Amino acid sequence: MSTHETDLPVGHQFEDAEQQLDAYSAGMWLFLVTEVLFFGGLFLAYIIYRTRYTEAFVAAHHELDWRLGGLNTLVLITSSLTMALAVRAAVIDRWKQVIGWMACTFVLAGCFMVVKYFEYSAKFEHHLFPGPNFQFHHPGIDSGEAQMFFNLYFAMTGLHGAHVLIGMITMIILAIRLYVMRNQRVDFIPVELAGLYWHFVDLVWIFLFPLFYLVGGN
Amino acid sequence: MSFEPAKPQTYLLTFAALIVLTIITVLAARVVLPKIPMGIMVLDLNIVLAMAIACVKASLVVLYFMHFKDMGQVSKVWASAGVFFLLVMFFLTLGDYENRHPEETKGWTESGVLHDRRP
Repeated sequence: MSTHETDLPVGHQFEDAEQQLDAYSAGMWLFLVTEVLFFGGLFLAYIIYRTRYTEAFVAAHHELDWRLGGLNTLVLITSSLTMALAVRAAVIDRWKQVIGWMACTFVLAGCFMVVKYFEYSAKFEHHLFPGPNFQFHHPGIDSGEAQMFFNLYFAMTGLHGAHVLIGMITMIILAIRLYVMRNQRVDFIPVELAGLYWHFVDLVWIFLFPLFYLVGGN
Repeated sequence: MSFEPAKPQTYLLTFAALIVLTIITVLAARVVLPKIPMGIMVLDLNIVLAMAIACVKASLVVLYFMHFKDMGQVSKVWASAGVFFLLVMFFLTLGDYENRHPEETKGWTESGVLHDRRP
């Protein structure tokens, strides 16, 4: 750990800027651990049902379009890159660049949600949303088992989508804050923490994409 | 996380690697790999491969986008604890499912009647 000379504002409860940075980072990682375990429970449910209802999961996943899922994967990975560049701009104190890169991230997140909207609408139209109107007719496949695939699909991508929306709101708030404080040396930590959150959202999708859109070798 | 900005090239290389690995994931799903029955479960080698690639991608995101190596010690402990406890949850639960007696391993049908799913 090097002791860095920095002109960042330091809270009175901290020894120096470095300790402040470590404390904020540790808090954010603690939150991310709870998120990992939150999603982890759902991933565990997915593994258990998939290993037991293998044929139904293979049949049901053909209702999802892997090209749209793949497009969304590329969109989210690109948004992670733009967010990383926003954080970099914040560290070197270029507030206009930060807002620019966050705007790119915001637009990409919006693209992700628009694709998701079209995917969800198609599932609602085809009676694939779990519930009394669920219809899945496929020879030799138990409709209840296929419904479990869509239960998990909507629960996991829905929860992930909620995280994308929260990330978008966070970016708007940070952009406004940066604009209002444009004449002072601004602490880059809020942008850094939003970046960690955004990369986590990307990370969850990295696992969701093959699990739902690319169910094994067909 | 540190006061030194990372090089943009690091981010661009990470981005390129993530895109290439996404394409590999899609291509790998087109190859049919064997499904190995394990007790009441079926181990699908396709998904094992897909998850292995996803783990590599996740590591790249954590190492370079979330700059793991520049993080403070406490953050590293938290991040590692997250992975550790996730694995504990997975292995204990899956071990339990794998080792139950057949009369306990029942699934639900649409009509709500319990039936044995063991082949």
